Amino acid sequence: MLTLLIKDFKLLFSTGKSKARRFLDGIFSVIMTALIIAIEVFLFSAILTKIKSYSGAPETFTCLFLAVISVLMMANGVLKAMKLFFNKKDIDQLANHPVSDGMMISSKLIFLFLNHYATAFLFTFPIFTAYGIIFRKTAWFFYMAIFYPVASFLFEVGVALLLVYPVWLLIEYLKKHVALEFAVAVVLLFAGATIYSIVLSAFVDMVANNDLNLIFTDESITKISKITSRLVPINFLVDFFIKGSRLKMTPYVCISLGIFILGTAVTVFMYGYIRHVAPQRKQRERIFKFRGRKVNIALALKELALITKNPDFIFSFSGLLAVEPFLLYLIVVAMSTIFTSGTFMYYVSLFPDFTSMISVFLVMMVTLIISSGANRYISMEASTIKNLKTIPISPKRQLIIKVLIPFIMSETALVISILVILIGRAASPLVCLFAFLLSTVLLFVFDLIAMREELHIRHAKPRSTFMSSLFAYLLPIMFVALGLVLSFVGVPIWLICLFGALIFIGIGIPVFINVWRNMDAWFMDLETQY
Amino acid sequence: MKKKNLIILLLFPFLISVFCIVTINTTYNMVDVDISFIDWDYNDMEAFEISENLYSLRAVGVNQRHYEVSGGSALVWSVKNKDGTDEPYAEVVEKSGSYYLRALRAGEVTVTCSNAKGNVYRSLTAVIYKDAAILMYPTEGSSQSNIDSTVYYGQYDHKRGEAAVIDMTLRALPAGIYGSLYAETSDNVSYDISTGKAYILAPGDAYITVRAKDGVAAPVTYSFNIVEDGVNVYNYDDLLNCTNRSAEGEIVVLRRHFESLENSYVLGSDGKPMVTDGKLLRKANNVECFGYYDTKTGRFSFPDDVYSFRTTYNTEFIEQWNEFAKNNRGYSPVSDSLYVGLHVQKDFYGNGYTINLHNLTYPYSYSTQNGVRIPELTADNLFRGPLKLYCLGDPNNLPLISLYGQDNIGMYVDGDGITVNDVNIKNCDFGDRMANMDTVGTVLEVYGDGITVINSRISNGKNVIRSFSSKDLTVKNCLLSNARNFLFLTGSNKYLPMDKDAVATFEMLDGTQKDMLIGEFIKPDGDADALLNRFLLEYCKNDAERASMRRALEAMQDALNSTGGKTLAYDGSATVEDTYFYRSGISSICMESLFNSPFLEEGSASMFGETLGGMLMAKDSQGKALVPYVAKGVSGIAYPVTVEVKGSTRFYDYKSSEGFDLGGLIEENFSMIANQVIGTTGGIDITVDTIFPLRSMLMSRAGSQGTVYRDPESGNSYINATVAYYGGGANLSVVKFDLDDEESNIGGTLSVGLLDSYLNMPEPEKDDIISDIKGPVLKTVIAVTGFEPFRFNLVKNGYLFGESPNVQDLIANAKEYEK
Repeated sequence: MLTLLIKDFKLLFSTGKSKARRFLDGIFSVIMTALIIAIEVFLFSAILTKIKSYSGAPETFTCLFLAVISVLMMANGVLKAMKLFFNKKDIDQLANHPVSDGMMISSKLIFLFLNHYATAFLFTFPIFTAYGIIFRKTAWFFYMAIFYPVASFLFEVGVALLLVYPVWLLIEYLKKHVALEFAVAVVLLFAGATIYSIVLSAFVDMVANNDLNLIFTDESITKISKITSRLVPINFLVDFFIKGSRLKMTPYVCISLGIFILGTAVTVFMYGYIRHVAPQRKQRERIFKFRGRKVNIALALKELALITKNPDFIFSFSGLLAVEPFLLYLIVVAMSTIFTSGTFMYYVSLFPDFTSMISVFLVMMVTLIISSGANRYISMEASTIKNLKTIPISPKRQLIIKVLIPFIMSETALVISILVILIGRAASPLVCLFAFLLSTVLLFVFDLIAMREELHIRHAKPRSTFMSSLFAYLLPIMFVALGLVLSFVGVPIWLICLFGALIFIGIGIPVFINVWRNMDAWFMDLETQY
Repeated sequence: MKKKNLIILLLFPFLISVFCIVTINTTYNMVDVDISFIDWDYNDMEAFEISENLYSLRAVGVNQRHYEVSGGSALVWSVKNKDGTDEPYAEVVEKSGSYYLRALRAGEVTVTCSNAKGNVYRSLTAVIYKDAAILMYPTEGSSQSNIDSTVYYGQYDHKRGEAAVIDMTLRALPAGIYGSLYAETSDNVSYDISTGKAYILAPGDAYITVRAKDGVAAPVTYSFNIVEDGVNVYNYDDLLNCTNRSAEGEIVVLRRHFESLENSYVLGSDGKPMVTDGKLLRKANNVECFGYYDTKTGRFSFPDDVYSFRTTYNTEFIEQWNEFAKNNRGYSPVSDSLYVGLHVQKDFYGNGYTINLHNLTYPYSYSTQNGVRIPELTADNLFRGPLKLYCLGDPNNLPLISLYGQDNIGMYVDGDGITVNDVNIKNCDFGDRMANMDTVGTVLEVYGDGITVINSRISNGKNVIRSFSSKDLTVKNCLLSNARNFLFLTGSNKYLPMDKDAVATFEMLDGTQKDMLIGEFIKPDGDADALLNRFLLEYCKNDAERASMRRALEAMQDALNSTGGKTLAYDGSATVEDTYFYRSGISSICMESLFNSPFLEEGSASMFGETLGGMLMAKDSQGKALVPYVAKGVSGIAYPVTVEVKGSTRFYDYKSSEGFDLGGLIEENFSMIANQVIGTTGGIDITVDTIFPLRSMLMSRAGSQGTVYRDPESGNSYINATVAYYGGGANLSVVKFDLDDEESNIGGTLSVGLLDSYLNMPEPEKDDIISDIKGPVLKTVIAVTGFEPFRFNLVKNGYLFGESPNVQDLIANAKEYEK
């Protein structure tokens, strides 16, 4: 059993990264988690303090917060359960081991519980603590809060177990239908972006019109109260843990236990089915026809196929490129509205062209972040890297095409985004022009640095992204900071941007020369893990 | 990079927005909450048989929902013989806090229930009888709170041409004598005793008398006056047809109350009106809701109902701004139109009924801050505060300073010779803070000559009565109460623009005098520019510097205020007689004038750009500037008006220093901006009183004059400002007091110049950007408005301190007028 638990632990948390990298990732995760919890507690406490005089409102908002966490926990549960129950390698590995199904399932369920408890505790206990402090609850309240994740486990993991097989089935299906997968990804991203735009517009409108108090009016609280009263069974849990209503625990346990038993039954059944019964479909033999193409075109198509057919790239690059104009426009408009409305308008007035600088900054950041999803030029080749080394095409040509394809795609998205911003009057033509120029230069240099990092993969270790991250974050931030200072002393924006572009180019030239000169040698020295 | 970073970037706008939440600690000025009205189950006429037994008197004071009433709200009962004789027909007996009526002798009495303060009341006629009695009253209850004892009926019902019919209830005690009853009427009315219907035939005084044939019961008479061409208004539709929907208007005779939603309908536990048989459940048969309420949407029909007109006040700024907005992308024009709840064009007889425009005027939502309910405007609210007279900054986007113009109006009396009689009109039920009325508009505005407002209660608005460029207005025997700013605001729409071609004598800081064209002096980069820049940017180090600065600024203001020898005729006049003023935020009467300064005329001083840093130049990514346009030519001298205050007019308008609240007079956002950023970091506490220190100056000057009353019980100081004359520009208006009181209780005119406060401002000790900017920013307001002092007349000797107006006095006055 212990061996199984250790195996499942590795299955969930092993990343194959170096110790140092894992340590850094760990620190980053801790900081990010702490930050998210801090924001969560800040928002929750601020809201609670504001609405505590409304009868029933604190319980309503607590229920709302816990319901949101519950939804996130369910999504997290689906992902974890999928990894634990339907991981192909794991299934293959366990197929040859003399371990009973009961042991395997128990191990996985224990892990699901532990993972759920730890995550839920991290996000729910601060909520209870904030509530308890504001309303001066007794120690018993805080003690009971420790058991909230235990209680929520039944419902949240139950739902996750119910959903995990259909979700896994859908993903498997989509993996085999690339075009459909791309279409679904784009639709999902557009749907997400649309929801984001609605929420953002509503929020920014309220901030811009100084109507933020309207969130906490009698009317809105009544509406939220009605919504939360329908959040079965989380509202029962809130009644039990916050209001101390013991009666509400019975319906919660009945509903949750039912869902948990059903979910476990479905997952266990499907797990057994996949392991023992499901026919191993033979891969359909594909007949590749040789088509005579020019070398450059063939290489370009290969890169294109790599980027568009890999599910990872669809969600982190190609799909995002499709929604980039929409997202960028939304963020630029939102930030512009926030900084040109209400009191913020006056603070930023000390820095002429503040919002212009922010707009340029946002264009640069979004372009770079989305573009970074496709700059695993070497890593994404996987085992085919040895072929690249042996084909009779110069490494330089291969590498140039490798960089150019995602660069051209990013640039196309950038041009469309800039046009959308311009047509939507979210920024002036001058700002748009410089946003385009600066982003292009930055993107080009960033891609070169990423290429350099990729070409330095040795001993099958993961690529170091230190330099590219430093470049991608530090440089735009420094540009904005310096730009604001220059703006404060009256330097016009066009001169600041020109100055920024020259600095970027100045940094880029040595990088370019360095990569250009050494790329052949670095390429041949590559030692990837495949 | 990748997904995590993108998520952070997407969260960025939300995180930034969180910092926008205003966290300024606000002090709230609370006021006493009176009961809204008295609820009981008595008809207009009730009978009480002479007996040793006591009749229990039952009534409840109705509070505003969500608010607890203050002291002085307990109900008290009284009784008075209707025929004026001294020997009582009945008496009121109090036992353990409960009230009872003891019927002593046969006769008619008026039984009155009021709050202890006496400003809310209700009454009925009680017939004290021995063997038999006849009762007759309109089936649909009267208001039971008339000031004018005459009951009015219109010649028509609902609309002109539809002859009026009054449904009367006739009761006989004992019922056996009913068959012996017969009626007599005046010639202009007929009465069918079998159906109880009275038919109106012609205008004039009318009566219906019912007697018993054998004389076993005292006859009963119902007297009333039929108003020629008057239309009896029974519902909201009738009301609109006679006012907003009518091109020339109709004479309105109210026959029902028009109340707020919560006062009209029985509310369910969810706070929404209860519906039975598809209809909203009314609280009483003589109460209508002001506005059509859609139960499905929870909204009112006001956008289709209200009257709208272009402001009659100064529109220089609005016109210039709109022209600018038309030619500059990213800026929106502002409206020059106002909304009106009721557009009254002919006489209005209220019969003591209430018109409460709460549904129209009051913000539809609220938030709770530190346990205090703060009303919040929603997109559906039509009444959103006054138009801007002048604005430094984008009027649609948190301007630095805004001066207010005309406001939206509850009842707009528009035409000559109109009489408004015996109406109880209020714009809202405002709770416990005067500041809750910031956006509810003026309650009653008159625009015409010879208008009379008599026997009325007008209350609860930003300003209560506003009269501009209206001559011979009479406000008589009225109770004006609860104004955020002023209870009676008057002035002129006309003004004399600055004569820049006139020659005036100016004094320089070195003491030399110069005769030059005003236009030359105030032009950008001219002498006024230099003088104002010095005033705003520098601090006077000694008395000599202060004196020379004062002389130079006063000389400049004198020149700007000069009419060039032209006498400005009075553009408005009003007589306020036997009227009670009760609770204002600033003063009971205000004589408004225009602000007058080189800045409003020519944009001088140029330091505004320098001091406010980049504000005048700063542009966002869309090329928008924060102060994108500085309107010019907005300066001038308002034509004067005159007000005569006479008779038994009284001012019940004491307020503590904190209660003297200028927050509704001008809109300034300096304090919010400063307190949000530098207030927390720089240890600076800026409020409207810092920027516009009228309150502290007034308290100080009033203390010297002896018009501050120190309450020996609480030890707190109070003032009672009867009249305030606007400063800034020239104010040539006049108030004449001719009160009945033997000893005048009105103090002499007190001049409060803000200039002294700024000239004495010490140089900041710290040398940082915040300290550098604070002084000039604070002086900005006066540099915009002009340097003319504000003037006040305060009540002296603590006269009427701690007292409140009693409506019974108004009723008595009304009876006197009838004699």
